[in-house]
Amino acid sequence: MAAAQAGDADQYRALLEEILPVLRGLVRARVRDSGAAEDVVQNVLLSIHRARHTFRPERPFGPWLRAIARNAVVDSFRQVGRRLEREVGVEAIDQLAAPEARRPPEDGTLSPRLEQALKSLPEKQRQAVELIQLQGLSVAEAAAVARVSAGALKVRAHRGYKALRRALAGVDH
Amino acid sequence: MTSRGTRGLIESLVADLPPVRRLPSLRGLLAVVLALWVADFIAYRLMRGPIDGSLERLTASWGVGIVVLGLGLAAFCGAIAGLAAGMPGRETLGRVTRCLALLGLGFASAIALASSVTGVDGGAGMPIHLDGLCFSKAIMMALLPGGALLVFLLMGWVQRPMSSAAIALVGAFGLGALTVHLVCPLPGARHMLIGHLGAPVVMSLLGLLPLGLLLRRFAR
Repeated sequence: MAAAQAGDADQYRALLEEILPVLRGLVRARVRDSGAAEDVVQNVLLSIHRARHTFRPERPFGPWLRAIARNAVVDSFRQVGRRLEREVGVEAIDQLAAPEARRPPEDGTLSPRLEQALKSLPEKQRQAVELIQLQGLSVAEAAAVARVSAGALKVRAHRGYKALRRALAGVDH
Repeated sequence: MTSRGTRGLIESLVADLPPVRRLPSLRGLLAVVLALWVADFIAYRLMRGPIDGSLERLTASWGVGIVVLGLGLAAFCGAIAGLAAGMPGRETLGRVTRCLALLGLGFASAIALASSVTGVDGGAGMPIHLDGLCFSKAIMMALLPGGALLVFLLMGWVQRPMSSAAIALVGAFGLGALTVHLVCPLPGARHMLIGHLGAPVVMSLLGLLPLGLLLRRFAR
């Protein structure tokens, strides 16, 4: 970590890859769903990256790492909880539409109504919804593709879901 | 898919990795805060000029002595706990010092309150504006060492913004209140309660939300 603080990318990569199994073990002890667990692992990695200036070489690495990981896991749970309260997934969006408008699960294509509603969204919101819900990317991955912060991407996706709900409800009525 | 995403994330984190300035050790940061407090204390003492019976007052009354002890614990342990709050891996030190700081402040306040209510420690007829004067002096005396403490906390990585803000404010304003308490010649438990102990209590309550939000925004 001391080398990483000095800007040594190779040492930093080696360190992150070395601690990755430890982090996965720590996270999967608390998160059963492997996809969600990997999202949390990515959040932990981001936290370690942001907090790397606080490591002191004369202090042990383990307690420093565990403290950051523990809090990043708790933060992730809070974020997921808030997201679940606010966001509506594709399945829920489908439930808002008429049965004939639902996406056929076997071929993965969108129903015409959902496709039309998606097209009506502003470009940035549509991109966020498509990256997360249709392409199955994690928030961190989708944020990297859209070249924005994870927080900004979540806001765009959240607004997109709300607009979609409104659009689909309008189609039904 | 997501496992590959994690590899991708690692690659993006190490790409164009800038060197970072390491946060100084807790001991070093504490030394700076205490040096500023000592400088503050000496400057205040010199400005006040000679004070009759100031040292005798500290030892003559057990109530004053307890407040010295309680404020000392609140100030120094609060400062250590505040600094530790921004350093991952120092949670045990932070927990112990936070408990000592709150214990000191609570015990001293309880004693001062009890003395004030029962009238044991005198000074009941003292004008109330003198309490306000010492209260504002305690805030002024906290600006330099307390400001440094809060800046150091903002430089760290704060795990729990609200509780970190609370204990850092107790430490910061405790240092200012301790300066005033060690120099102030005025007697009375009510004066100690409002003018001296009031500063860390009231200011930590008032500053909790703004500092907590600031820490959430900048120290994470």
